[in-house]
Amino acid sequence: MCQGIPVQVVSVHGASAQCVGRYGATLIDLTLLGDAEPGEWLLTALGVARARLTPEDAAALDRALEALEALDRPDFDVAAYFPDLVNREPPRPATIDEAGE
Amino acid sequence: MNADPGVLEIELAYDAGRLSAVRVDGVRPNVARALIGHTPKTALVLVDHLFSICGRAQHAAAALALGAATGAPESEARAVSLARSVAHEAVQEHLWRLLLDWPRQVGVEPDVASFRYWYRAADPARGELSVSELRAALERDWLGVPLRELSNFDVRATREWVSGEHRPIAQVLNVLLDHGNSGRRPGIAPRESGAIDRVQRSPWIASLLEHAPLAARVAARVIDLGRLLDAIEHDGDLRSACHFSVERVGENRGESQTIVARGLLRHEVELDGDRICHYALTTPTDGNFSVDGAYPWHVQRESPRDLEAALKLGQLWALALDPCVQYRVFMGSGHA
Repeated sequence: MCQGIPVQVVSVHGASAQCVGRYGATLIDLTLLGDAEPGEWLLTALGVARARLTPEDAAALDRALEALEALDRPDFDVAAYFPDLVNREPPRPATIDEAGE
Repeated sequence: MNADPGVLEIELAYDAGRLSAVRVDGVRPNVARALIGHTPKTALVLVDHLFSICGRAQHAAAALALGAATGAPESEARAVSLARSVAHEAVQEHLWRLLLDWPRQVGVEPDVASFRYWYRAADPARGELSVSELRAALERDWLGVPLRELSNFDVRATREWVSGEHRPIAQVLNVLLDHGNSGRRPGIAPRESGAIDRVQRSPWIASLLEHAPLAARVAARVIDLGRLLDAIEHDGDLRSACHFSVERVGENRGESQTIVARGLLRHEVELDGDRICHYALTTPTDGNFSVDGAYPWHVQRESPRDLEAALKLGQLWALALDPCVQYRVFMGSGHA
């Protein structure tokens, strides 16, 4: 639920792109973004590209998905998947107020 | 073996003119479990990374619940700011369903360029949304009638309006007026969550609910979109518009709720010392697509004329209840 899936563009075919991610090959709708380039990373949900990602952000999201898959393992330790996040001060995501300030 | 997190499999059966959902299940990770054992500060960071879709609402619900549990609630100004982000995010999702998903589902040409422009404008991080211009586009380009006027329509007035109307949302409603529930007047399902339960008192929605339940769910998004735009524009009661609620229970427990476009989102957290010992999330998809949820409730009240119509209705109800995960609706092999 509510998890985006990072995928890398393999080829572009009009308004869709053949992509590959941790769950294999998939055809992604590019309606929102308009276009994409082979090699580019995209954040997708329900088969639609929602945003472009840096390779670093794609890797971080991929680790998050890996953590979710590992939840049921008896030795699950979230810190193993987010070593740079655990115990960090939470950021305050930009909101409308703050963006306008 | 990997599994896409949260693919929903919806298997239908069609027998003697009756439709039923014989299986509604999928792999849905218990994300809240990843938060247990951590401090509230760490949990909030993790929430932002684990929920990349509807992230504003998840962040707001987590911040409110964690603040209540720790006895350090968000300031009023911060809560309003969170609500504004949630409202913008819900506007984006409503636009997605109304301008892309529903037109495509019923064979109407989507207004892709407008969708792309307004989706970006409504991005909470950009702060570029002109509410008055979006409302004007909604009324002028996608509906063809002012929202204020629409809210007092009944089914007859709706039918007169949409027949021959070329604007995309009106065309979608025109198709859906003749689909769903075959005059059985089912109303809202017991566990249903969505825009429909926020605006069901609108005379237009109440009228459609009785006669055209699928159209009612699309119309509810229109009314809810207008309601959210009003709240953003006037800034008066954004928290109320987003159904913000937060409660501290005892010394170490916090509960919160907010909306996403799909329905109501709830977070519950309990602390043991400075660590989280319990965390639970309830999403709209939980109630809408559980075995005893809204989806089976609605489809079993359908009486499609044939197998093709049965599958179509199953797909329409899935989009109407809008799961937050990939889904696949298919007819099982056991149908008559």
